[in-house]
Amino acid sequence: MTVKRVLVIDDEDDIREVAQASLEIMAGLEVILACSREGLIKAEMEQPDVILLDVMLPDMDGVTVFKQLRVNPATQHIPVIFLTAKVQAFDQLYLKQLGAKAVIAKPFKPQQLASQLLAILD
Amino acid sequence: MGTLLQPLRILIVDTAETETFRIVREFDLGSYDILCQRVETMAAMQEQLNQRTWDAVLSSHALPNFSAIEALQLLQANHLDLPFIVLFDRFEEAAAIAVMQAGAHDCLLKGHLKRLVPTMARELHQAEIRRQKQQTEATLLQLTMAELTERRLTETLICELMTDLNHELRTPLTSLQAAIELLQTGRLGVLSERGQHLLEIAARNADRLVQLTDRMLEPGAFASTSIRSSHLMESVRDR
Repeated sequence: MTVKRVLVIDDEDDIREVAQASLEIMAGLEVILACSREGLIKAEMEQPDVILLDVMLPDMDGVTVFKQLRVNPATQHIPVIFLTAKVQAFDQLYLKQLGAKAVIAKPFKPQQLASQLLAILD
Repeated sequence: MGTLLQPLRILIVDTAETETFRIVREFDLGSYDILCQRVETMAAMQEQLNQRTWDAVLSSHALPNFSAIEALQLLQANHLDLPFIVLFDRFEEAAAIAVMQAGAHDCLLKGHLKRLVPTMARELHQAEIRRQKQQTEATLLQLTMAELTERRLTETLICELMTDLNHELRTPLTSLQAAIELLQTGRLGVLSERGQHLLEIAARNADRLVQLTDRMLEPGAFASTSIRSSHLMESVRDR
């Protein structure tokens, strides 16, 4: 059975690492890591099965990255899950309305993260 | 050295020019430097109200073209709070009551103009008191609005600060809480009993910090004083 692959785009080293550990240990996924701008390149090159995208990125914010993924024919088919510390309902609704598959609030439980990604990949 | 005369501008609503002379004579005797203008129609009255600032209006009750009450209503429609005194040819109780109820400040008989000057002085003084009161109320309202605006701005700034702070706290908490939970799964190696107990302590305190950041975003969480802030801290501590 082919192992599903997830691209994690986040500028925080520690969050990338715990996200990777959570998804590898709890979901058995292969994890590719990237910061904001390189995330667009890696998404096109690696063709992951799902993208986990942080909203608050320093040089290009997550919403802009998302919109660029959507307009690129090479990446527009890849489902995107937003990861955000903005936990207010109106923020989350806005992100969902953009077209994300899901919005996960920080801090996340490793099991919760794994379950949500597996649900989308099924 | 002559006495300083008080300037007074009176708009007279009357058809009879002789009445104007009589009125001017009374005010001359009363040490006023009077400027007056007589009008007979509503249009002429409106034109005078547009052209100049008036101190008072004297209106004859009996007018062929429009009534004293209509003259008063025209003044009110122009949002002018000036002494408005109605002059009657003869005593008419019902008519006098009607003009007073409409808002006139006094009624006098044309044949007894000796009361005119003291009545006018009284009403000018009352009008000044009303103006000062309005001014004070307007100033108070401005101060209240300014205070409210400042308070709202302060609350907005506090709210924005809390939102930013909340985000900044959640970022390291994400790594902290996830790392603790991954260790607790045992899939990264089994810890001693004591090690697991210490991890439980770490997990519990990470949870408390997350709950605190959640509470920071509640409406009114930081709306007022340090007493309220310390209650917020207490309620998280007690959980």
